[in-house]
Amino acid sequence: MNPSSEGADAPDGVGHLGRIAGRVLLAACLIASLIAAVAQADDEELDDMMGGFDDDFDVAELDDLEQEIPAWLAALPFGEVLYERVDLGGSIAAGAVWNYLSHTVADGNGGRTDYGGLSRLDLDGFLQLDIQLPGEWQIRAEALGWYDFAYRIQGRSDYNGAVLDVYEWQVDTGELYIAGPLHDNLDLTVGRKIVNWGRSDTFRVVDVVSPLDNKEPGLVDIEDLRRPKAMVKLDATRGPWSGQLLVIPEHRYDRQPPIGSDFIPDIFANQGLGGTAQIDDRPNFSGVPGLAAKFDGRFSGWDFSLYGAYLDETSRVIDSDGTPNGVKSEANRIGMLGAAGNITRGAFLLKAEFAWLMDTRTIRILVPAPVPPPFPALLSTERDRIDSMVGIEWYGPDQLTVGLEVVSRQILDHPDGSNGNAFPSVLELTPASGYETALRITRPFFRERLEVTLLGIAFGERFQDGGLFRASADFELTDAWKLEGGWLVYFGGPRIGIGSFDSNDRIYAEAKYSF
Amino acid sequence: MSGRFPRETTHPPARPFCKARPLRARLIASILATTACLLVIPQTASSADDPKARAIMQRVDDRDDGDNQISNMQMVLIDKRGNQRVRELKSFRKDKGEDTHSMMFFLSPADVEDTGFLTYDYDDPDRDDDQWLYLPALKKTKRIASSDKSGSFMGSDFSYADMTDRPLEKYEYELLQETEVDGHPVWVIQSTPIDEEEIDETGYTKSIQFVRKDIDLVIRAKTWVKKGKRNKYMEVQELEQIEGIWVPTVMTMTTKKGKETLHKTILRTSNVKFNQDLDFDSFTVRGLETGP
Repeated sequence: MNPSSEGADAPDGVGHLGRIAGRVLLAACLIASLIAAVAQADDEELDDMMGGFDDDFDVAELDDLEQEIPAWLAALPFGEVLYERVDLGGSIAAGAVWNYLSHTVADGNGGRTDYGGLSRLDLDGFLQLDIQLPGEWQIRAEALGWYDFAYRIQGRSDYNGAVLDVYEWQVDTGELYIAGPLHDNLDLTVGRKIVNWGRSDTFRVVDVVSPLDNKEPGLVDIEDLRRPKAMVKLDATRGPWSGQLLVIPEHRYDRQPPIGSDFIPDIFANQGLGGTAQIDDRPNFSGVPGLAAKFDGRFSGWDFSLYGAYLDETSRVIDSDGTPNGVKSEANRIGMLGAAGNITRGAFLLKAEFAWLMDTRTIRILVPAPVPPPFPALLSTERDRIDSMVGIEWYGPDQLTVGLEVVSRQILDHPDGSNGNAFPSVLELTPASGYETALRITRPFFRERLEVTLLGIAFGERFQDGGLFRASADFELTDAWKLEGGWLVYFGGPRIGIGSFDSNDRIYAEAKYSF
Repeated sequence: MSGRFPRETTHPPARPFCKARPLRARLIASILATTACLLVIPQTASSADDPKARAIMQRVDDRDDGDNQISNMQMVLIDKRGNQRVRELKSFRKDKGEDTHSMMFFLSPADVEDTGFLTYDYDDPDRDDDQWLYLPALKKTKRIASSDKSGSFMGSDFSYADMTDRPLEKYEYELLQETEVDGHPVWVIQSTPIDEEEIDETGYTKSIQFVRKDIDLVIRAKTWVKKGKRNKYMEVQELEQIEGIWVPTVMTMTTKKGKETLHKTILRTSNVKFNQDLDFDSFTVRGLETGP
């Protein structure tokens, strides 16, 4: 071994170790500073995570929640009692409807009425008075009315009397009843009340109790859609079970468009169907009271209801003995046995309804006009009908709701024994088989300030019999003011019903103040 | 950590410059490995469940909030321009074992007055809530499905998920810090949903809650909203002890994107009464239809 080389090697080895030591020290410093930097970054990230709260909120700036009795009310005798127990609310609305397709409609008197342009410009009022009585009893009294200026603007003489009666103005009572508990689980209601049975949002299957305001199909405000009837109603509840018994002495019927309105097909008016019918306007409280009952079971994820009813159809029906002067529009007593149910699964709601309707009125054309024109010979018969509905709703993100319902109506033992018309050149008034489909999509926007609804209804198993489409939007301007606007389109089909309305497309708007 | 560092150094990256300078390469590799460890380990820790944090959240969940409660609620909804809308509700709640039955009625605005909402909220996370909605305009009670709780509650910044208890087993908890809020010692706990299903149902990817140590009550919470990269900030602004139970009487929920406030809700609770004579037959469709 060469010492010099060893001596020469020694400083080199020390230097090498020194360089390694230096690098290790450098690495240690780097690691330490990196750890410190990461730790600081973590702290800052945590501070960021935990920050963002408002520190300037002052509870003292909030209004007092306790509402005080107005001085004028306090000054009245029993003012405090009135303030505690009486609640008066309601709404005032101004609305307009514009039919943007020019068209005329037979008025039933040989003339025609122009329904293009402005078809409604109305002021609408609604009042609701609630009085709380001792023992949890309550009185409710509602009144509603409207005046439509469109008929004055367009010329009242252009419309027949029946149209003006139904559309120009109206004052009516709404619900008017006293209700309260007879026992812990038993409630009694006496008075005019709306009863809404079933699971469908669009179709009536078991919903046979309250008549409808159907004067503008597809467009009547939801608040005004059903008409109350006087009844005695008992409701009993125990756990998941409940029952309802109705005795209905009052007979009220659907408010329907008259001959000469925009919603009666020309063929009706021209052939005199209904136009010559004698309306049986017997007193509301005459005859045998209607009876109806319901039994419900509600459970986690599903429920069912059973129904039974013996009452008048909600709409007057045409009765005919086959002679030209034997056509009458009158009440028809029916029986109904039905069932309905819901099942929920996650975001889906399934629904079904079934009704066996006994002795519904079926109107048939015997022969095409064998007697002095323009009347065909009609004969009414009573037949049973099976109505059924299935539907599904999906509750999606952002409160999007999509609902699909399909209803089938089948007349049993149809007079001609087939689904076809015995005389194809004339009307099929009551087809043996009918299908209706509704698709409804709703979604709120801007924190429920705006709600948009799309509704399509089609008739016929292949949608061949016409239908309607409505796009509407409700906008909450303030807590009290709401604006609504929409577009209603009817699409045609061969049938005498909605299929003939395809010129009735319209846009509408309403401003409503609620208090 | 020390066990992982040397193991990483035995596997230098196979890049040409590393072969030319093996020591520097090893150093760089060491630093990268250290950095990776420092960055990865806390994240791993953050997703792991912390027994202490879980125990705190269990105490929050177990806090006495009365077997039943009646109260009035006022919600002031404030948009970013300062426009206000007001909703007032009357609320009824009754516990049934671990489940909760609740009923709410709109008192205002006038056009939705008497609209009622009945909920059977089940503790079992695998069981859907039962919900019914009474629509006075239709005179009809409608059953509704309920899987999505991320939607806005009555147009407010509170979601349906905010208004119900979330199952503890659906979350992992981590104690982030112990600090003070308005002079009160708090635990700061991060909650992370354990699966996408819970994220989809609530709309939240994670949240941090400030739990007051003396009363086991969440007085602040910040949530990360999956949609729109937004944060929601809940703050209890006023607390009252009513019949021995702490009740947040004024709360705010603010939705922000970055530092910009998008919307804010003030939720005030008044006329709070506990342990009233409420029976379960009140929490039925009949109760919904007869009104508050």
